[in-house]
Amino acid sequence: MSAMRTETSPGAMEQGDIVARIDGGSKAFGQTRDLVGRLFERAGLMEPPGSVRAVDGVSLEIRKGEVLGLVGESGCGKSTLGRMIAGITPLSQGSLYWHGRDVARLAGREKLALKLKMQMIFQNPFASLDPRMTIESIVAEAPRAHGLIARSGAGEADYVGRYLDYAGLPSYLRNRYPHELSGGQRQRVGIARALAVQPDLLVCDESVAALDVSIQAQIINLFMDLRHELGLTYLFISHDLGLVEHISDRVAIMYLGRVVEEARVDDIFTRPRHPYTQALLSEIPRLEPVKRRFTALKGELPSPLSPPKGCAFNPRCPKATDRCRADIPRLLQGDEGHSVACHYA
Amino acid sequence: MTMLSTPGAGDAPLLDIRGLTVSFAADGGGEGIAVNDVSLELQRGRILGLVGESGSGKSVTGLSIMGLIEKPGRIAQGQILFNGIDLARLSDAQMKSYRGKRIAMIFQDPMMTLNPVLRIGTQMVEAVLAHDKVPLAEARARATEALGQVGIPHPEERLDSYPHEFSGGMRQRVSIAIALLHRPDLIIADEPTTALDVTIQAQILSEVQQLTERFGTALIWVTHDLSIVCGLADEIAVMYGGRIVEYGPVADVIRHPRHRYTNGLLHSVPSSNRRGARLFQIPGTAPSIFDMPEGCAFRPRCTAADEACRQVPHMVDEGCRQHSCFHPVAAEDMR
Repeated sequence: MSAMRTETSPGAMEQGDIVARIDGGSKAFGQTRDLVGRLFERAGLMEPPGSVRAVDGVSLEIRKGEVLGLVGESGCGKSTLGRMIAGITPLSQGSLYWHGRDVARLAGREKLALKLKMQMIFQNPFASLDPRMTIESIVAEAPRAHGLIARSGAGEADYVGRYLDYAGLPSYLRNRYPHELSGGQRQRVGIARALAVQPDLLVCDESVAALDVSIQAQIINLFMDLRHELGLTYLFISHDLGLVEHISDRVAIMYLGRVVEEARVDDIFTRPRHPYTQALLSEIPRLEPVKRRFTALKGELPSPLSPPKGCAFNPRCPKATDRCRADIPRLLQGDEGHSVACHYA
Repeated sequence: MTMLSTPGAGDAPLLDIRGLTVSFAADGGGEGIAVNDVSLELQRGRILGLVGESGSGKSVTGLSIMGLIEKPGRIAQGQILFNGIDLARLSDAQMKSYRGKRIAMIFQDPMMTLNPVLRIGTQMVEAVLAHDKVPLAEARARATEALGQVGIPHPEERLDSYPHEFSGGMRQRVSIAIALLHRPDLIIADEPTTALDVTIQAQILSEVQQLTERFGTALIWVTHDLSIVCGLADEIAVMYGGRIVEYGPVADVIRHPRHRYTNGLLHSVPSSNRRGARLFQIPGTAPSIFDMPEGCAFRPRCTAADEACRQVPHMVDEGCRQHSCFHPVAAEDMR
């Protein structure tokens, strides 16, 4: 329901209903110094290295069975946040919970088992598939390593066949190599591979951005079918508002490392409250055959190396005041779980 | 160049492509037809949206106009009449006087245009001097002006920057500025905003729109994205399997598509579907140019296909628009 949440979840919400939750999660990327550099730094001869806060104090929860859309421009930190939630990128600050369990306190088999439930599907299917492995071995690799199929290989063909089938791939492709497939088929292999470890959450990072429109529709339909067939939960990361509107139940909008607005999909699209969300929505190209004046939002996403003081959006915001240039607005919850981080929303 | 009035019907088109066919030789012998019997017309100051998915031949069509088809590709047939001169028959040296001067191209990746080890100013001055023998100072002044026109702040200073010092959106602006240097009659833009964010895309579209209006430049906007073309173009040509399958004014094509492929494409866009419902989907994938189905290239993916579709469909003229489908989408609500 909320993004900014207190320690205890309100109402009857069971911990088990929340597949993943991130609480005040931050990720800073900094230069790493070699030994000499560290010594110099210790001696006060060098400044400590600068760091970039790619994700800055984000709290989000993803409930079982829902599709949470995560929208933002390149550089806003949406992919980093996705990787944090999937357990690929460790948090610099804050906590991550999977099925109510604090990931920082998990270890060993238990951590592995939960981590397996959070799978990621990437944008470029060709870069994420080993070119020297057949489709069957790509899909079978993880289940075999995790003991979902016997190491002897018994039952492997059936197992792989089942997940190829889920992903809509004909089984005669199982002995092919990635370069022999089309872009859409490769993305289906990425999906089959993720499904083969029986995940609860799929983090889809621009998973259809590189595909043609007609293929995009096929993959989106596949995602929606799988959601119902396998009871999957999605974090759907995309810059494409049209897609996000179509597939999501809730949407979070990110700007320069922070969530600036979060609400149910119809709330966001009918009553956007943050000026950035409003600008984004007004600039979606529409299928209306009317010559438009493209009225541009001025400027670009500022560099996270030197974020503006106050609200990160203030240099581009038509409504910015002195207050916006001084204070960072907090993400505050309004009616029906519609949260927004703007002094004047 | 002054702003031109709306072209009358009697005006000779700026660009008149007739039966253009481009083929590529395959490694193991044989040939693939990337562009097949394409005919297009473009008047001054007009914007044509050339729409298609990957492998449809839209980019190759653009490259042919620029004279940039290289081996193993070749223009096998047809004419590319630009102000009445057939570009397809020009020698490389002759083509050079058009390329960058009268016809310019903007690519999806601005680094196709920009040299990473040279300052922006050096590259722009070079581009000016390639066609106009003017003093260095004047060339620099023109470069500054062009950068200013595409909305780059402090253009004078930015001339001394290297391409990597610009963001993706700014780099694309620089390549647009270079395209504008000689006030060309025609600009071919090949997916120039595909890699950019929505807000930056809107900025670039807005600037391109203003510039073409101001200078009366004709524009071919090559894209896979129908919704961009909707707000930008006057006419739209939809390509599939190397051929134009539908061609006409944007409003007609978008409101009442006639070809089954255009229809499918329009319906598979999320905004034409009910939120959360399954999207309309075209089954299958686009054919490879080395393995084209006989007859209508869309036949294997088309739900309306029958025996008739084994013949190559001809363009059907319907007044101001054309399509090539044996079973066009019903015309009852068409005017």
